[in-house]
Amino acid sequence: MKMLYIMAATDGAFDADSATAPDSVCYPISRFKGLMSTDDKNFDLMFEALQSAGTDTANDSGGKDKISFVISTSNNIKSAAKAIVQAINKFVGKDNGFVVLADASDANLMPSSDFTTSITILVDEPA
Amino acid sequence: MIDIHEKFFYFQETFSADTASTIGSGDVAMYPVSSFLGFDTVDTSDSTVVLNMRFKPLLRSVNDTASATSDDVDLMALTVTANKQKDVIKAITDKLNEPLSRDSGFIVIADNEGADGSSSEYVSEHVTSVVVTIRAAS
Repeated sequence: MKMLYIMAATDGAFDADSATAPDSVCYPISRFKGLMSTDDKNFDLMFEALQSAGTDTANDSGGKDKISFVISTSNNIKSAAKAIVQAINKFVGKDNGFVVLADASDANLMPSSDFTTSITILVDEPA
Repeated sequence: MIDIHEKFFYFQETFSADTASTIGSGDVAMYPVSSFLGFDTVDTSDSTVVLNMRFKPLLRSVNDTASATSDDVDLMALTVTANKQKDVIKAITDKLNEPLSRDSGFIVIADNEGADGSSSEYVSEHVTSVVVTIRAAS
């Protein structure tokens, strides 16, 4: 099984003190829901929520996690989406299934040169 | 369930609903094939030119208890040449089953604009447009 790793901290430190905005997350690929644009240079990757199982009816929540990306070139989301798909489908023997989808601590570890290192992780937390 | 590799369907609607020269929120959607629910030709006006592709929703989840506007799932409504739905379904199925090495798993079903507003791309000659509808979470 492939695992998709995302690191948002540009300093590489895992020191965020937040219940909903961790520095990094890693999902089994089966939790990936898809991509949607939010602007000409912005898009979100959606995942099934890490913390919300849909069973807490008293504390209903969104049930999805959102990773927001920023690219440099306007209207270039198609190329960005393709770069993400290529990263996911990279030959498994190269990484034993550990896919660094994006690591803001090193610009070379972004899916393509058009990605900025501005990444926002927002995980859903039952209220 | 996605295994080692996965194909993805890409859709790009007209830039910001025809009123702007840049992509706006919800103009682009991409789904893993494992989220694909199927085709139908449901339409209230002229179903001869409609082929719907439905997907597990990006924004709605099992936790969304409030009712959706019309249904729960995301809808990519393709406009196709009249009564060519079967041909389009076959073309998409062909793409689904192509070796991954040909497309890296990135399948453009419909892109009304391309990067420069004039380079549209469709999975079949019988597809002429797409409307992207991502259901809102409650």
